[in-house]
Amino acid sequence: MMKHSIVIADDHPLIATAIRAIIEQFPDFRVLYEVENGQMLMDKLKDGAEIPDIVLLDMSMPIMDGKETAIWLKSTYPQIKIIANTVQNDIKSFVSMFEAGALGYLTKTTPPKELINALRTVVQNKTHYPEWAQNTLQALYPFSQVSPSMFNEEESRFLKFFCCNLSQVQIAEKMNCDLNKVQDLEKTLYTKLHVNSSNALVHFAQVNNLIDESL
Amino acid sequence: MEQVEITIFIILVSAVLLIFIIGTVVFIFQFRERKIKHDVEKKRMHDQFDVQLLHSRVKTQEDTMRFIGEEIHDSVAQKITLATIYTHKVGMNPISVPLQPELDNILKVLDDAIEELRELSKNLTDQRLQEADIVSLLQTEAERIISTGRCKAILEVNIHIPLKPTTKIFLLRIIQEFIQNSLKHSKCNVIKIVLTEHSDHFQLKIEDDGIGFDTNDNKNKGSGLNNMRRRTQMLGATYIFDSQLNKGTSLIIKIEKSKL
Repeated sequence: MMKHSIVIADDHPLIATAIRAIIEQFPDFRVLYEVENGQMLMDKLKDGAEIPDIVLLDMSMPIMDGKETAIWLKSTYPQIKIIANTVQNDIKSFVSMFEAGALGYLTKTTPPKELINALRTVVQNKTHYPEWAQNTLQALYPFSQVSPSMFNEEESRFLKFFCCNLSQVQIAEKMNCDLNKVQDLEKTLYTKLHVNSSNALVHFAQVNNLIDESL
Repeated sequence: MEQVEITIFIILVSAVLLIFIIGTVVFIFQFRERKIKHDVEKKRMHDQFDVQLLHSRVKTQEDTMRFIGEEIHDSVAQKITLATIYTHKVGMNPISVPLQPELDNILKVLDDAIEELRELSKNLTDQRLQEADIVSLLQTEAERIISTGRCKAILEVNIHIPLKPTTKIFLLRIIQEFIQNSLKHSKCNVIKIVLTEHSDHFQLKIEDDGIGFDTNDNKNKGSGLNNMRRRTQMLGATYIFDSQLNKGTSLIIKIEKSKL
């Protein structure tokens, strides 16, 4: 069985080790390594360390915090799925991590069952957020004026690939078009949906059942 | 002739009187004006002082609140989070795995959390901490080390540093953290605290002669060390931490006088 790989970023080594011990009980996941902050992760990846499928990301870390790390990861390795794993359980923290590109949001004291749930959800390019966060998203992104029918065929195809966390270059290859075209499509979707974060596009695709799991 | 003299006399007296009256009126008027001005100035200075005092009180309160927040986040909350994760892990174990060692581990973490919480609340309510100077606080720490019976304490302090309450509390916390680690892990014979004055800075050095540890090893990078480093950074001071196997551990903190 193919095991999905995980990196844990947490400035408290004991907590990182404890989370690792829990994840290692699951047959379909393995932990590659632990880092104490975003800078360490950046350095490791630049040094050629194995690129994980998922990063479990603490929010408050010294030197380079969770939000900064998520933004950097999103721009450098868009295929990596990010799950915020934090003690901060409030709307502001959630929104900041959502906008930074986290597909999942968990508190560190989450029971293992929910943790595995979240891991298995995000590897399918779907989001896993707490119950209360659904209301927050609804308020932030009502999407009342928009529907998938507003997209032409090209835009719909782009959105599907986009939600698979493919990079712009990869999307261009899949769609047989050049990079500029892909960038234009992304901008068009942002404008049509009145949003400004990539995660908001994913969220829209998810609430409208546009995500193609086979991709 | 007499008539004329009397008239001149009367005119002269009237003139003198008039000058005198005008002079008095002008004087009183000026005096009043000056007094009003003085009062206004006095009130302004008084108000300004009140504002400054309020500012510094609010600042101290803010610093203290931030300190409490950091303290809860870094120590107590992390320990309890850890205990929760450990407990979840126990729930996942197959029945054949013995429970006791893992439960002991959880209880130990919870004990630490309670100890830290108690320490925090004690420090919050301890009036002495607010009033005492750093030297006498260090003496108390030294006495506390000796009273554990585990090792000796040497305190070399013969200067007085004018420290802000928050700086004092931060320094004390860092030292307490160091002492706690030394007592718990280092098996040392002596803990030494030295405070010295240099031309542009004060230096606080604390060291033990214990077993030391590998500072590069991840498992040694607990929240305690992080706390010490973070607090030193918040003071704007220089942090030099060193530990060598079988030689001991030391921490030097340098505070520039300009930052006092």
